[in-house]
Amino acid sequence: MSAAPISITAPLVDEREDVCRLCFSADVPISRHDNHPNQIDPLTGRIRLEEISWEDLSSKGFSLQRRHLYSLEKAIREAERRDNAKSEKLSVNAGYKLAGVLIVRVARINEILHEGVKAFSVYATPQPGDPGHAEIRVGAHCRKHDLLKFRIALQTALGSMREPDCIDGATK
Amino acid sequence: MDQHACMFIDGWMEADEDSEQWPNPKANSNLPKPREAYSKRATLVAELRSLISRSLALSDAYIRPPTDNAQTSAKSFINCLPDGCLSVRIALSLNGEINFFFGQGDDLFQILIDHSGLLSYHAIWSAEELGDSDIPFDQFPYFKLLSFVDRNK
Repeated sequence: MSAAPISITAPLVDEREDVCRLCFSADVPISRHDNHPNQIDPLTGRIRLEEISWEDLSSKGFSLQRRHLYSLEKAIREAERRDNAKSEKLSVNAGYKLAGVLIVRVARINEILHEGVKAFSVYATPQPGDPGHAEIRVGAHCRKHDLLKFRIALQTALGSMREPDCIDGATK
Repeated sequence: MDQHACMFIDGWMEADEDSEQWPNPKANSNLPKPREAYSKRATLVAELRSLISRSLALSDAYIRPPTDNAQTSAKSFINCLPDGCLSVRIALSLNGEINFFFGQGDDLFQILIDHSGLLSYHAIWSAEELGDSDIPFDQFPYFKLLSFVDRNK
């Protein structure tokens, strides 16, 4: 039997904040779906359901960035960092770039309820050099089949991928 | 097909022949012929192997292939699928979980095989909700999946 969701003690992100999920593409395969930004379904523009995985939501954390602590410039630097790592590994120019971003108000995530309790929580998890890092976690009261149910609602809440410059958008 | 693992399917197919609650596979002319069904299962297993090979080739800090347990369980699951349930989307997550999606849009019967090789599943239809976590592939309710697929044709 695999483990139940891990509870963490990090502070919750205010529900009035927006959080972002970065999406990348490259000139070399970086996902199982060539020619499309990784994690994004080209038919709907939404994140693929399979990328909302149990391991991420229950133990590793589904990584996000708090929009008001982040910027397009930082996102481009992250793409460059990944490009350097991939290019070095493959010994070719990987052409890694920022393809877009998913943006959602934390309140939209908090609205997804399981038995009257939040199915997901968004935690502030700053990292060295990355003060805006945040994570979505599934509630400790949720089992795997509950995640399968609620990841459809989370996919809807995350919406369609937007242009990268929306990170610095006016609704910030 | 794993003969021992799938014997129970033959059992429920026989037992349910007269049932009005569940579809009768033998009465459905849309079902693939046995050779065709075998070919479709083989195609699904080949697709799974291709996805796994690709994830092995792409593996890095962000992409991991499925575990041996997950791979074995997924192949057994495919080999146990009823003939009427061979239209499915198979997808791997970046961290190696294996997903099977039956249905369209948000009207899905989802199956997740995680690193342990155990299955979890969820579906909603006709106001009925089904779901369970961490079960072996031979305890999966294949007849309910067949019912879901049949009602959504």
